Amino acid sequence: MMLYTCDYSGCAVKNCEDNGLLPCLEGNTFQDCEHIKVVNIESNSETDDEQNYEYEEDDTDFKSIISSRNLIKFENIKFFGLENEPSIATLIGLPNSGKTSLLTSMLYMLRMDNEQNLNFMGSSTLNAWSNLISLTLYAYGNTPRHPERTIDKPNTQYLHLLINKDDKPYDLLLGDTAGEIFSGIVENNDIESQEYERIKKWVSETKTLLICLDSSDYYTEDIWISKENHMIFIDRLAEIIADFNPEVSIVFIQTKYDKVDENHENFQYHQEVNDYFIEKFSRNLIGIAKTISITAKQGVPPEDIDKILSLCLINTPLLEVHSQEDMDKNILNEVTSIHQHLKEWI
Amino acid sequence: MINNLLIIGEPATGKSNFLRMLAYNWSLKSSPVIQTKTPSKLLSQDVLQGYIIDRTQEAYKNVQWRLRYQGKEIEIELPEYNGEEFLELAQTNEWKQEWLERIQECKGIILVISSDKDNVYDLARPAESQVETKNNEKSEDDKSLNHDLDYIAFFQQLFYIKKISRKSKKKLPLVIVMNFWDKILKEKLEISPEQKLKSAMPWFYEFINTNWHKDFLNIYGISPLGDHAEQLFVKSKYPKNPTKKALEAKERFVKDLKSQSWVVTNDKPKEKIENLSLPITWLFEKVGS
Ligand SMILES: Nc1nc2c(ncn2[C@@H]2O[C@H](COP(=O)(O)OP(=O)(O)OP(=O)(O)O)[C@@H](O)[C@H]2O)c(=O)[nH]1
Ligand SMILES: Nc1nc2c(ncn2[C@@H]2O[C@H](COP(=O)(O)OP(=O)(O)OP(=O)(O)O)[C@@H](O)[C@H]2O)c(=O)[nH]1
Ligand SMILES: [Mg+2]
Ligand SMILES: [Mg+2]
Repeated sequence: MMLYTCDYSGCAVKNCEDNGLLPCLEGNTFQDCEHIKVVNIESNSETDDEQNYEYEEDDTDFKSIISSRNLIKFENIKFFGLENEPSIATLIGLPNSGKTSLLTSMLYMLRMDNEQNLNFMGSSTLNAWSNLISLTLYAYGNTPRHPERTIDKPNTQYLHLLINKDDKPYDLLLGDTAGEIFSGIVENNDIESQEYERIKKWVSETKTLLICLDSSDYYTEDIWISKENHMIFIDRLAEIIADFNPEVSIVFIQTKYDKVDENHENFQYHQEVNDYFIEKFSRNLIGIAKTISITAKQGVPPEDIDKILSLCLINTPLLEVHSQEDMDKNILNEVTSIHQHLKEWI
Repeated sequence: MINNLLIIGEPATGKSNFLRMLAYNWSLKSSPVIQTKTPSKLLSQDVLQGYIIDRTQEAYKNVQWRLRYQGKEIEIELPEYNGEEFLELAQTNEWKQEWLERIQECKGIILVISSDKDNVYDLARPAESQVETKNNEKSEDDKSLNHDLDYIAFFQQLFYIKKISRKSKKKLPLVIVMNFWDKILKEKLEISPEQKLKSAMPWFYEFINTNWHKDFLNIYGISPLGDHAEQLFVKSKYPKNPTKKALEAKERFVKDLKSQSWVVTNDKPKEKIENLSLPITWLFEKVGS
């Protein structure tokens, strides 16, 4: 293909090509214009040197985890911990206590102004978040938009967030439990039961438990979620924690706090349950929060939720890394080779 | 050293027309950008005749566009793949070898996004200030939200391939152009390109802002075809008898190459700057610095 130039000073066009359709502003076509000169001949030679970007097996594993889009299994969390321990936090609470709403609020909160200066930097579970967002948006319509009831699954799986706080990046893995497993152990304290096994696994894997108690007008004597059943829930949970993860940190979350004002009749019951909770878990308690989820108060940055996330992040401080040697020590053996290969990226 | 740049964008975001207009502008004698090797595609005359370019059909064919700007050698990889390919990339982790290479080599990115994109319904904003288009029904083909996250997935994958730490502030020059800004001005919308991006793709916007070093990110509104864009036609649809409208469009178009296209910045989103190269020269200056 020929490239031409125009030597007529009155014309604005400099370069054009010989395909009969010159962008000539003087004449209407190539033939009409006499000021055209050839300047170069476009070569068609392919200068591409065939480089190979082969990915090693280890890479593929690592890659499929880090750039995965779906929920992350517990055994794969180690991939996020190549340099710093990732934070793991798990939402716990009776059915309908607002766990999934809280999880959704956490994600939205990262986009809104917040006191803790948290920002959304990425996620390796984008599809899972996407499902959660669209479920919350469209599931049952009008505000508050209800998430669907969380279904218990045979394996613990986590959502991932890369959070930027004060210009430092943190990995956070979040577990959402199905409330039904807790009602299971309240009704029937059977350590052989599937529910018990499940709770045991969630509790022992995590570093921070976010325990949710509903603040709406619930704790009457006669309905299922009575004061007594809440006490039983707290007792059973305390036993499991003592047996399987006695050092776990606990954040006590009073959810649906917008409902507290309406909650006159049974407020004393709540008070009693809350006091009981605080007494029971005082050893592990690192924070108390009162939350209103984004589904209930759209457009308002959910209060305290940034504080909860901050507690989860800071609860697992960044490891001190002074030298390459230190760094190597910190890296789990099984993933050392991957780390070597991918340290720029991590 | 040659600096490779990549242009990406969804289908029908106006990439081909944008590039064509750039090529014309850079053919002007006064142009600070010099074309040292121009693919023939970019110089055909149809746009200057008052037509627009139709959607790109063929797959990528490795067409390079060599440029020189302030002593820098620059090469733009043409997006002469159709935009669907970008979406495919954004939705899967299995990237073809040629894409891996392209991503590895690129030193800067031009991302073209349509300003026509609907604003998403966003729980982070008060309900009164927005319209709910989907009527609370989640349909299978509702991809608007997913698209937003797909862009994030695309860039995360890109970081991985380029071995850019996902935790660092990115210094890979990125310019986002909100295309068809002529429509925004016509509708008299009081919005900046950055705000438009934020309301159409809130998650992606947050992601970009948190990840990028601010000196290496810029967002513009552009209108390559200019104010008469809406009156232009695809040539193949009028092969023999250009309609009167098309002829009129040509009248307005060809005579005014330099001021045809314009750009707006976030500070003054209504002030047309008659320099389509602005976003690109900004990128040229960042690349390799
Ligand atoms: N008013 C109000 N309602 C809330 C709030 N948070 C959650 N809800 C509502 O409480 C109900 C239960 O919320 P979920 O988040 O699904 O509760 P969950 O604990 O995940 O329930 P399971 O998955 O069954 O264990 C839904 O109808 C929510 O809309 C809140 O802060 N205020
Ligand atoms: N209003 C307006 N519309 C434009 C402008 N540029 C392009 N368009 C419209 O956008 C359509 C798509 O433009 P193309 O340049 O083919 O888009 P593309 O991104 O190359 O599309 P694919 O090749 O399919 O990926 C055109 O047919 C025009 O109708 C512009 O500056 N303003
Ligand atoms: Mg739930
Ligand atoms: Mg095209």
